Amino acid sequence: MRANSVLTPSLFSLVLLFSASDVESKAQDRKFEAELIWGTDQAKPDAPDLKPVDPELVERLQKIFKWKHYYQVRKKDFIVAAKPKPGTLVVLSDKCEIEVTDKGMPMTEVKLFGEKKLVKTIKQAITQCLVIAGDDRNDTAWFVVLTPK
Amino acid sequence: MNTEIILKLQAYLDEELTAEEARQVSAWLASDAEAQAVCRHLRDTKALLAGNELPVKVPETQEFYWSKIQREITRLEAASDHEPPPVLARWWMRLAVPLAGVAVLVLLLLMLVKPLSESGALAGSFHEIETQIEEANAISFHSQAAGMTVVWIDSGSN
Repeated sequence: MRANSVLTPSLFSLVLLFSASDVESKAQDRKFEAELIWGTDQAKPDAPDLKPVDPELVERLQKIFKWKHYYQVRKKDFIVAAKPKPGTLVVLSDKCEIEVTDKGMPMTEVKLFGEKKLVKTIKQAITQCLVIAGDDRNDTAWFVVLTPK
Repeated sequence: MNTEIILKLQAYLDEELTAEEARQVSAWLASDAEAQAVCRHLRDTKALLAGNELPVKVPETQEFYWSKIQREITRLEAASDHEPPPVLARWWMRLAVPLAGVAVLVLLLLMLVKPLSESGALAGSFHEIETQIEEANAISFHSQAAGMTVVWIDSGSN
């Protein structure tokens, strides 16, 4: 009886340890959606490539940013291989690319490229939605919205 | 006659009573015929046993017989002194085993907690933002209302 009472915590710990190792070894690839958005106060320009943005997302953007209108330039679904595999390069326009790398769920590294040049590297736990944004000419703005799926 | 009275009589015959008790029993015996009969019976039994008990002969001398018992006691005591205690009875083992269990649990918790802290348990907590373009200032914040984390890159276009 005494031996059991003493050994039980150790055995329990070992079981938990092996369980944790098992979970660690089953890291999975992650799905994301990347959307390049253009924000402006002007009415929709005559550009057939621009699409409307999901109204719910527009509402959320309007809670933070000043622009009245938001247009989708491009949207892509992609998969990021689990750490330690290399990241996924997503081309959102001729000038805008991102490279997303898994750093261990939910930690993620996002590299933003402008005209093929690295502009910014962001290491962030993405649990909801990450918006990388910047101002542009004529009081407009661009937004890269990265959402885990 | 109950057992207690018989035992009292037996003690009287064996001279195990106090003087006062012995006097009382003696007075009682003088007036009680049944008690006298029991007392007689007990005396006869005692005499019978004392006269016919078979003596037990020890094959060795008394000294040798007791010395054997003494040697056996000494041997058993020495054996118990040299015998290692059971594994789990050792104090350090009793302490070490649970401590090892606790240590494994702490290690496990650290393994589980560390990834959370690295990734920022609080949404929107930034850990590292590297800017390659010198003129691009960055502001980062998390909006709970909008449910999004924002990294704003100010390139000074305006």
